[in-house]
Amino acid sequence: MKKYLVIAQTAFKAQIVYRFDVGMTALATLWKLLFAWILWGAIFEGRQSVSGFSFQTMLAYYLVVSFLSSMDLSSGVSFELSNRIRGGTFSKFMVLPASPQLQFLAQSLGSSAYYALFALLAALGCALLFRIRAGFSAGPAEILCALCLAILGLIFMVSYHYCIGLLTFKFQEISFFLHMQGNLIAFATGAMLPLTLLPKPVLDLLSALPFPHVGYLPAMLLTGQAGLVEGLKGFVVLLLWTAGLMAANRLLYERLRVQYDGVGI
Amino acid sequence: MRRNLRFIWLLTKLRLAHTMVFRVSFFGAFFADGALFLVQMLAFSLIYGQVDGIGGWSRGQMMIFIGSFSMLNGLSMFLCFFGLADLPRKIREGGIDLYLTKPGNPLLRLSFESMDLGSAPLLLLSAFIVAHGMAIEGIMLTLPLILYYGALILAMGLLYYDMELILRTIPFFVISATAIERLEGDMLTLNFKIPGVLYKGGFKLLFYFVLPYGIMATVPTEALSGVLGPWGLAYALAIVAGFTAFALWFWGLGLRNYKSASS
Repeated sequence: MKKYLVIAQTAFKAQIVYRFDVGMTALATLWKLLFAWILWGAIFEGRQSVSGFSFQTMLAYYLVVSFLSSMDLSSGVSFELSNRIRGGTFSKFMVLPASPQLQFLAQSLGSSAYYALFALLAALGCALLFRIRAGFSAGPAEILCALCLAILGLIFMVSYHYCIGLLTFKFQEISFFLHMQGNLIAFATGAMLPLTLLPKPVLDLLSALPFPHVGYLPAMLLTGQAGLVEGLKGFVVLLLWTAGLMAANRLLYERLRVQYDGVGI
Repeated sequence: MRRNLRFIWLLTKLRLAHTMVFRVSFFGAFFADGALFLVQMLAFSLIYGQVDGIGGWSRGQMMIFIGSFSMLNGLSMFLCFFGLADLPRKIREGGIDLYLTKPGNPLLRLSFESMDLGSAPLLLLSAFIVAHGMAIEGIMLTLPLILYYGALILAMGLLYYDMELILRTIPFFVISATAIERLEGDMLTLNFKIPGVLYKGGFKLLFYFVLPYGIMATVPTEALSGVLGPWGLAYALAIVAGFTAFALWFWGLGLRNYKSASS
């Protein structure tokens, strides 16, 4: 456990070098809020609510999902894994006395922690700029539940991207798939728009998947659009998916790693 | 002109021979960008399930807007995106030397040598989205309308190219181009989700004049739905002409400022 903590700490410190990237990622929160402000501002013209949201609540929703997606650096895991397997430098992870999955997890969470500091600053700035304090109406239990969901969501997303990256052992070229799934995942996590706009049967079906609980549910909890029971249900679903995927990744790695023929370090 | 066209055709054949080696990723850009625009369609369909109009635009107009932006993006991916995307690296590493010493127009070669033929189906998908929007809007398809819309798409495609070229010419004068690329990505992401008609005040000035991403898909959509007036058309064409002249001048200035880094 200690070695993974050291990896996370090193990843956290390493981000200081990439100040520009960190700054731009934080700035992305502003663009997303600007998008929501312009588009939903036009939609709400002459209306008090849309699908149970007021304009303020809608902006608060986008603020939370933007903050969470700024922290989520998991897509880098699949790209790095894919490049390393193809380039032959994955050997490094095979010779180290640590699980590659947990190494990537620690690395990603360490980096996310650093990004979170700046994303939080950006989110606070946006909240002031767009005056969206009124959109948050969650109690302490809902806030705690949203926080647990957000952390578990980060772990799940790293596991998911690790799984996708492992497929490079089998298929070599997966870059187009990485790009394609990114848009679908952005939709399924509620980063594009609140999933309450979906028809109820579709939303119920989607709720059995882990993705809505990564971004959509924490945002709904914090904006007072979802209750604690719903939050806890989502947490259990996400926990089961995360545990299942991490176990499946371990098996997949053991099965596929024999196909690796890289020689780099 | 004929010589340039023959040159582009030769580059296309060379590129096709190269990309066919990687068969799995041949249609990569099509699947990636196609998914993006289909998700965008779905998102707006869900919003229009709750409201009748957004900023005075109906569901059909929004579909035409998404299809038009997809078409501009498809044209760029098919023709010149991958060539221009590599320009900052070539400037930084002295790779432009190769283009300056070869016969032919260096900008033409740089722009068209990396055509992505696998992106061509994006144009078909975009046409399908536009046709879907027209069907919702009840617009009758006539030959003059197709020609009018097609000409505007080509003009806006040129503007899209101008913006790509201008932003990627800046590395002739600065060391890092990361900020510029991120800025372009953010601007495109914002503008392909928001029709230009929704901008007001400073944003209208920014996206209609300074960084005219706001007019690119909006103008063809307005033309197709019959709400583009003569002044709107004249303004759009003036912007295209102005930005094309500026892009070519800026490219020339960049070349004069180019300091080769190769030995």
